[in-house]
Amino acid sequence: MPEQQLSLLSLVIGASVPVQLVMFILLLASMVSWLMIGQRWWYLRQMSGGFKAFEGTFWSGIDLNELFREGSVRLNDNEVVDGVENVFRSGFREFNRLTKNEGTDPDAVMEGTERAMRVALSREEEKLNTHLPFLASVASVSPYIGLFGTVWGIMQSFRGLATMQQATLAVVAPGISEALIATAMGLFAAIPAVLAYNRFSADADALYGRYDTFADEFTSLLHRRVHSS
Amino acid sequence: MRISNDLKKLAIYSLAGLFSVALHGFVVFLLLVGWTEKSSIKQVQRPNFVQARLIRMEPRAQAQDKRLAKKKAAAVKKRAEQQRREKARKKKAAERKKAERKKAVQKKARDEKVRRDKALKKKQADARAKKAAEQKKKEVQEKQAREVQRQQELQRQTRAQALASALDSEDEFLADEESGSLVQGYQQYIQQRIIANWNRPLSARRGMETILSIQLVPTGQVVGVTVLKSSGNPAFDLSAQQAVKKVGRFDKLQDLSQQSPRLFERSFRQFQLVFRPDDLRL
Repeated sequence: MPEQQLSLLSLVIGASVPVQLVMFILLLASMVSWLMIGQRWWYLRQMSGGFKAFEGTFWSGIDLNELFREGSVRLNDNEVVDGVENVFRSGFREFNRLTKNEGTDPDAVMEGTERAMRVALSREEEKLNTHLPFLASVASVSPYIGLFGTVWGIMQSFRGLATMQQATLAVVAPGISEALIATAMGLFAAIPAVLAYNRFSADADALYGRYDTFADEFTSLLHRRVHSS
Repeated sequence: MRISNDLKKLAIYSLAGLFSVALHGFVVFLLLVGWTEKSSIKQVQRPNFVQARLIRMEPRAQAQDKRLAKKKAAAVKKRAEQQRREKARKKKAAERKKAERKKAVQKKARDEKVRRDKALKKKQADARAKKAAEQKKKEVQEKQAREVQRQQELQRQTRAQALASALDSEDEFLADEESGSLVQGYQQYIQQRIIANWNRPLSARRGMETILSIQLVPTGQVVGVTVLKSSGNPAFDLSAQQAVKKVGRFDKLQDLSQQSPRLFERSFRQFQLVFRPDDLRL
């Protein structure tokens, strides 16, 4: 192999500045999106595991006051109280606060409790969906950025060709190859981002649906309690 | 296990970041390793580039006959101008030379006069001096002559150079002029090939001739043959046409089209051939 100048590294280094800039942006986007993917994956796994565990303890017949106190202890220990437990805690706290003073209208109690839980729910939803817009942006934009780099690179290489006397394939090929790297990188960044976005947004939606169901069930439970007393 | 909430978050982010960096590093490494292997395969296909060049030449010559003619005219004009300029230069040089010679003669005359005057005054005493002066004069003359010669040489050289560059610039044009015999040679070759593939119809008679119009592509392949002027005998015309089709491809013309595509375009892209087989026995 006498000639090996056409290595990937030399192509990247030899690229024109705009193409290099595009490559750099895409590399950055790819790295950050993978960071987000890792973080999201871990967080959603944590949340769905936590939901299952909490639901198990909740329906095991444990005293709700006990459950609430346990959460408070953990919170005091600086541990994370996240996900559906937050919904439960904010609802239960509001319920207790409202039922403390006698003679409050049961409907008003339920309304307040529901409102508190709705707030907690929307906060949880927000947490579930963090970084997903970024992934969506990377997924949709990075192919275009890559394409821009490619078009620019090919433009340059054809412009260079215009001054040549002999237009051989060998003259244009490196430029085009170099330019195409940008598209490849754009796709490389975009494909995992698309997959991750779809996967994670579906997961987040499913989890949010489960939170919502739990909140409804919990509301009906409190409803029974407030009207029976 | 008292891990602060924020610290835990940070730990997860940095873990994810580490994963991301590692993944990218791995991918880049794979690409770098895989790429060099691919590049060696690419080199094998290099020879194809030659053909790419040929394709470029063809349409230009085909499409721009008019421009070619213009270029040729420009070349002729340029040459004429160059010749004129050269003539002027030559004239100037000759004038200069003449002037120099005249000057030399004048000087000689003056010297002689002086010498004669001097000789009148002191003949014997100046004999040696005269000799020296003569020698000196001779030297000067020689020097001048050498100078003139050198200038002439220089001029000749520049002229030769100009001519060479002119030749270069209109290389094809001159080549075309020279290539008349070349074209004839190829025509003969074509004729021979056709006759070799010709089946003589029974009705063929001596003196029959038909004019065919043949279209070739640069590979020498026949793409079309039509009868322009019939011999009066349809069977003969048909046999000639069939002979051309049977030849199919004139191999030597491919070489020609590679060596000088312009000549090919002009003389053999579409040409007329007088088909007159001489070996008719009847």
